[in-house]
Amino acid sequence: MNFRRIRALAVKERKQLLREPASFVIGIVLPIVMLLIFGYGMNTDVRGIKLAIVSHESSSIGDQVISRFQDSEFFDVTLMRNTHDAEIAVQKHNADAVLFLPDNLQKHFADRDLNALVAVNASNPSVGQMHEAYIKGVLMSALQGNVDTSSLPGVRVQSRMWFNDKNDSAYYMIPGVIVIVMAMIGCMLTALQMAKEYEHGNMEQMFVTPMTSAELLIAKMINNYILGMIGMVIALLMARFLFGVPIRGSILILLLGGTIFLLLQMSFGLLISSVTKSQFLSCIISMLTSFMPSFLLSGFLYEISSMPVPIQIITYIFPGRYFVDFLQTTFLVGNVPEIIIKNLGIMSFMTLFFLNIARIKNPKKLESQGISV
Amino acid sequence: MDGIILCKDIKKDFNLGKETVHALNGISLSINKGRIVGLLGPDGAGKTTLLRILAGLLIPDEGSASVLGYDCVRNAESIQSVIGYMPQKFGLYENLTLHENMKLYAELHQIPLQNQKSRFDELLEMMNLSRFPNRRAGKLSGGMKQKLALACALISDPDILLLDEPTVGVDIISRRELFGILRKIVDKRKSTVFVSTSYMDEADYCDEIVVLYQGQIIANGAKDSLIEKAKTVKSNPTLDEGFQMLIAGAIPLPLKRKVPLSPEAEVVVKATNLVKRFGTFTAVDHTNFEVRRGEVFGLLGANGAGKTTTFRMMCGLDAVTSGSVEICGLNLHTASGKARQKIGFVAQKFSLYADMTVKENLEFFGAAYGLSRAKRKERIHWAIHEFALENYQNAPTGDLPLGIKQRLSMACALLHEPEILFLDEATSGADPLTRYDFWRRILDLADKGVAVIITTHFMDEADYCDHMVIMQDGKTVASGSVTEIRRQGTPKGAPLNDITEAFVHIIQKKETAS
Repeated sequence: MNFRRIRALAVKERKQLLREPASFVIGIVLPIVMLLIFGYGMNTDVRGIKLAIVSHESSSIGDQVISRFQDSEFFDVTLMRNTHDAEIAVQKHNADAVLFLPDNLQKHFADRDLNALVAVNASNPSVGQMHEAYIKGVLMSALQGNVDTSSLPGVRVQSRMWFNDKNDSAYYMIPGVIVIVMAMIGCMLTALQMAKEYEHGNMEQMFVTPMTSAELLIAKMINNYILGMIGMVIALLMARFLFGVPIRGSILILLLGGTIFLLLQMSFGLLISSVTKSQFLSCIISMLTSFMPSFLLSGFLYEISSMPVPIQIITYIFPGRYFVDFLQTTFLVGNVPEIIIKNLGIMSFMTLFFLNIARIKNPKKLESQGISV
Repeated sequence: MDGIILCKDIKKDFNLGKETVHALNGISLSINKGRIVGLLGPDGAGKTTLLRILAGLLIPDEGSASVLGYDCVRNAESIQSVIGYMPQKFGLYENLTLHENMKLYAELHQIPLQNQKSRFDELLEMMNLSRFPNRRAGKLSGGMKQKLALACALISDPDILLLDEPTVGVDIISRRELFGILRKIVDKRKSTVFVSTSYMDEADYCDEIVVLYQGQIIANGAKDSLIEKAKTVKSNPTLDEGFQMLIAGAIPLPLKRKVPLSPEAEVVVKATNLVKRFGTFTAVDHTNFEVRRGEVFGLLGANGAGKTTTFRMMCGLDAVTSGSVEICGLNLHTASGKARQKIGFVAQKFSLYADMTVKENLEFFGAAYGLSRAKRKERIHWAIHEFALENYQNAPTGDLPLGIKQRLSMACALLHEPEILFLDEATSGADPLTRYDFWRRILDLADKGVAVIITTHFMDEADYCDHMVIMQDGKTVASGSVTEIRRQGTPKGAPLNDITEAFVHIIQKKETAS
């Protein structure tokens, strides 16, 4: 190991990185854009549900129910007099859901025999279910207001959203975005840079110098590490100050976790490119094995415990789930030693594993290059 | 044997799918200190494999090799720290400057900081690159890149230089310059240079040659060893003829047109005031050409002279900035579909589908040109017969030898009976036998009335051209028949230069004038 050579290689990498606009875009612009998209655009909070209420007659309770919905920030209410209009409205996407209030509402209510129909557009089932739940909630509270509470048994249901009091999706989206950005910089960018050197024939000339494989791998990682951490810091700052996400755990621990995840992704990227030696293949493979799983199998977008068991098992081999678990906990709950140690431990082990294979696969030989006589 | 590079019975196979290719088949040689040794041979002869084994990048299957007494397998690291190696693909970083590229290699070789500056200056001076140390490597011309790559390989002042085809795709002037530099180094430092090339004529610059063909050494020793055998049948044979004699056992007769170009032949390609600008840089500056039916038209020039750009505009691959190209009276840019139907194109890089068989490639290109089923059958039959592909019909294209690939490329380009055939450095890297065969077919096509437009770096191929154009800095600097060009390229009163000297003279005269 020779530090002078590592420095020379790292300086070269830095210059190339700075002169290549794509790296800058991936490192700096991408995290910002992703955070804005996920923070503002892709939030799963329910607002402005277009609700059609079909009521054939006017009654005081009916009017109270309707005004409850109208007052709520969650609903845009349209009143309709017949079922047919409501169906058309749903078909034309003028309504997401329909609430049918029965005739003789007043009487049914007094008899405690009230059947109201809630129909939702369930072409996206999870959105449909959420709409249904919101509508039910408002409906129940509207009706309860009319009941003489003293005549009811003393049952109260109260709910609290722990760690995410406002049920704000930015809270869990933002840690997820950090995972994706770091997977991208760590794995894809590193893999592409290395494969490019093989493709352009730089590697062949580099091999015939006193440089060792380990020196090359270290130099490759230094700059992308810095770039990745800049991305993470940007994401943390935006999370805290733009989206108001609480950071309850320690910043140092977050950065330590980021470091381990980034090292893991970079070593995996180096492994991919050392094996494929092609930019095209590296790009596709890192997309499939790092980027997509970070999205889909990490628990960032879809809750792992609600996945089918075989898929749940698969998630264990992708590092994303450990990092998401670590991030969401450290962000929203605080420093939980068991969670930190478990997740970071697994990721550290994976890093060493990949790094070692990458080193073996990079033996300063061209044997696996195939024929080119 | 006491050579500083030694090879003993080296064998190296590569597995290509189910087939095994014997890249090197029993190579033994010894190279002495202080010599420039040329490793000559066509593409696929095994040159790169041999150099990579010597550089410790590949492990031979059998036999042993050593450099400066270090074993190429066990002591690869030691070899790599003492030799200079320049692979065929540039090992340069295109977005680093000349200076930064050199600095990187200097640091990797741990050249003491205080010696670096003088070393850089010395090398840049030697390479004649001192004018722009801060230009990025990507912005250099082909010849300059090769010189910079050489400078990087020379950083550590190595005793042995292994160079893999440093002159491929480089014009004759840069080639001479490069070999001039090598000669200086060898004279001054008594270093040893082992340099591979597919241009037989570069043997002239070497003290000794090793000629490889299909993984075996067919000639080794002084450069005359290549032509010794040919001398028995001909006085003053060329190096190409020597090679032909060694491989085929005979020197083929010189090629001649059977039907000379008629002076009244109609013009089929007309380029008027062609201009191509890339940003502020004018690559092609108001060029005019006329190519007639049955004419062999050669486009020559130094690297960066604009010949490739001109060529690409003439066959419709690049848009013109201004000016026009007419193919058989059709404007290539307004009636491009119809005009392109009249063009056949063979690219420099093999561009057929490697994983399809010969027959499938022909079928595909026939269909792509819109030939009817019956017509396609007829033309494919013709092509297979004409290009002697009968034995290869069902072979995957990727596995074919270079010469056969080239024949197939030509066959595909001719399926739709084009009136004009464009060939972009189609003979680059081919051995003399393949080139001879190739030109026999070209002249045959021209006899039948096809206009052939060709670019080449082989100066001897100029002899086959009816008309030649030499380009420099985007302009035509000489135009005419070979004899006319030779006259233009000969100083007043001197005996008539051969075509190579004439070319060099024309280019250099313009360079000093500007």
